[in-house]
Amino acid sequence: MDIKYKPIAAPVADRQLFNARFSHDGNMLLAGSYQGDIRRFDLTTEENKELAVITGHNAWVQALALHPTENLILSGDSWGTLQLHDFTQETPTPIWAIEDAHDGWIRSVAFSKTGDCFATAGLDQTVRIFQTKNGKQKHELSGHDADVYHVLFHPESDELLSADALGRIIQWNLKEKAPAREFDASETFLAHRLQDVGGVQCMTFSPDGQSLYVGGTRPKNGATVQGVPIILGFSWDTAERTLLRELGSTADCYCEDLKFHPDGFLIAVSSGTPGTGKLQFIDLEQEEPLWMVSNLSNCHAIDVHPDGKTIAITTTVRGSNGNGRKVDADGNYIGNTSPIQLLSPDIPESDSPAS
Amino acid sequence: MSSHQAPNPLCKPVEHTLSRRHLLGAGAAASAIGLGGLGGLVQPLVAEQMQQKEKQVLFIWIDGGMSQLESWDPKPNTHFGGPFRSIATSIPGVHISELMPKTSRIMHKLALDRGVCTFDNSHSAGVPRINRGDPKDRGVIYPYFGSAVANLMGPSDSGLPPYVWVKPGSGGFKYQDAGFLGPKYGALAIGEGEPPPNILLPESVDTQQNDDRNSLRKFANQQYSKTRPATFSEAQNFVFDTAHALMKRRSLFNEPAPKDIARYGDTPLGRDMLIGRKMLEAGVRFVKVNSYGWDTHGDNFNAHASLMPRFDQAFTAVVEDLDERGMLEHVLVIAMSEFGRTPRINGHIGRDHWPEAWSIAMTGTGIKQGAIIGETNTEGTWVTSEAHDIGHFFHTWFNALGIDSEHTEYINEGQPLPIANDDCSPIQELLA
Repeated sequence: MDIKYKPIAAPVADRQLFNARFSHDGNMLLAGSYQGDIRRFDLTTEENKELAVITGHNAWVQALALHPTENLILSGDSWGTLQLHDFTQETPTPIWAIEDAHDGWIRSVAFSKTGDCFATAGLDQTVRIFQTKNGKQKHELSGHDADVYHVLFHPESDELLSADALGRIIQWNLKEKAPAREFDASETFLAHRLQDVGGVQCMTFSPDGQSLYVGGTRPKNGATVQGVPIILGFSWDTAERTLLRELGSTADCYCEDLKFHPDGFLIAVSSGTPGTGKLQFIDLEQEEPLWMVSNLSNCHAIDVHPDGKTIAITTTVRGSNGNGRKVDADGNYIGNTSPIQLLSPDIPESDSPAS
Repeated sequence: MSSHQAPNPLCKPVEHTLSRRHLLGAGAAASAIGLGGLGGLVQPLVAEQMQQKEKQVLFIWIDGGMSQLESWDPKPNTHFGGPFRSIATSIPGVHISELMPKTSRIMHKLALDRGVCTFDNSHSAGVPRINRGDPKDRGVIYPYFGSAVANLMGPSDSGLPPYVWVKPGSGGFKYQDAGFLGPKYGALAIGEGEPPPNILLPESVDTQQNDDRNSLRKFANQQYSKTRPATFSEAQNFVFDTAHALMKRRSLFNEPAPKDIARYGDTPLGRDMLIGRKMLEAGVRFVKVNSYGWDTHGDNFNAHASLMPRFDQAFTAVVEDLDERGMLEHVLVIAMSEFGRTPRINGHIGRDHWPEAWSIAMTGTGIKQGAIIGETNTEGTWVTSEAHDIGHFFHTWFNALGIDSEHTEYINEGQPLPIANDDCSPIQELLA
């Protein structure tokens, strides 16, 4: 198995981006931005042309999910609004929008196996389930005592999991609207001075649904957060922890996203102190990563192209941090952006992607 | 170039280029020089006057840099605005971050300046410069605000230390804050809510034995001071006397009532703020309450999501308590950091140091409640109103305490020294 990749493109928008999602046909890349919209890139064009933005959101669009079969993108923003769009429209208009789906920041959205319904989670410590066709709320689940960072359906049984800022993962009994059982990821949390640090950043199931993998950090301190990025593995049958994998040093901080590659290995990205980011291909049976790139700056999200070859990594601009003013030649204050690194297998020879 | 960096074109506090003496005119300058000769007289008069008024200060120091965009000056839904919403306050038209719901309800009791523009973007230089009021370089180390107030106003009638610093971590006597005023004006630090080590009378020593010991100590000190600089023995005696007063008030360190903890928050800041309130009630002149851990270069937004509500709870509780007790009539309350945080969001999802455009909140004696002044542009990058440096605030706060900052001077071994940066002046809009 050739597991070396090379950079092929790095589409960039004029705003920072949270994520990257390939369309089902692989011709489009979608990403939620830091300023109330969803950006789309046409990957069939040589320059990965940016298409008309999907508007209607406010502030941060961190929560983004593609419908499992249809060309629909579900998005949630940090003011509590949910929207569903057909992302193939030239200028998408919402199929429906719910302005106050949550009281504030929606952190995560996830479709069920069939896509008939979806789950959401947010700063209001609730998990909610809605019908996809009309956006009508079916359930509100209370039980977390902290911000809920992530929701995920089991790929086979459609059981719902939610994970929070304290490292608590709840599997829900939807009939009772109550926790059915829990997975302990509290190692990802630290109360430091006044601050709650860490929590579960991401979750994914193994393709066979037998294992749950959770990404986060083992926090060392708050403020300028430092910690060792970790992956925790759990048995789906017993909820017992089966794996602890460290992905770096305290400067590497958060394991931000996890995805299984069709070839069976796990892809993990991390984001640490400004400029620090790693992409790792992990065979869970081996201690050392199959392949690692450490010169990407602050990696935040992963997606795998439907062809199973290209992967997308949302990164940031190296050197985009610093105290005090940074202005351009015209005296304008300089912001930050998030190049999406597109990598493809490097068959003949290896090289690492440029940052 | 001076120690200040080149100012932003939009950050032009006119007083940066006009000295106090220029503003007062040549005649006033001559008077000011003349006052130097009277300085030794002026200062005790001020102290006496202030003692009668029993004015006090609660100085809430948010160490590391609270983000103005996640607190006092939100710019929701803009390029650098971050994820949070703004909420209405008790002052129509004034909004603050949704992370401060309790503060929003007492906004009419506060004054807020959103046009703060200072010059140091490092902690090592910024913390002392801000705490000393960024005075002009006159070859001396200026005192922190707490030491300045302790010197200018003296201890209250309570006999308790004039400058108490309630903080996480270690306690002890922190003489460094006093600068040229001398160690006597340093801070007595209460670390982790614990009384200073050995301050409580051992059970094996009764009152008579303690008095006898003190008589012996005083005699030994008199002998010692005959051959030593007076400031040494003065400081020793002063600290011992105030500590002795504190020994008699051990109830100040009792576990707070559960209902108080519930209101202030069972957090380090909540508990320290409660101690701070008790110290003020007991008569301490200047109380600094310190919170650490605000230097959010990484994970700024999740950090502020937990930090701000805890500040919000403790801050609102102490302001409400002081108000209910009628203490805002004579206590000046200030909440600030050494700078704000960058509008730009770095790759670690953090904000870096930003002295260019940030906010300071205050209330209490001498302050005009409900005064919301200063303005930044739509993206929060620069101050668009008249910008205010820390020197302006020192003038303002001294005046709020009844001290004429433009005519009162320290006398340092015969050298008259302005008590606040003489290029700056009080911000009248903030004064009652």
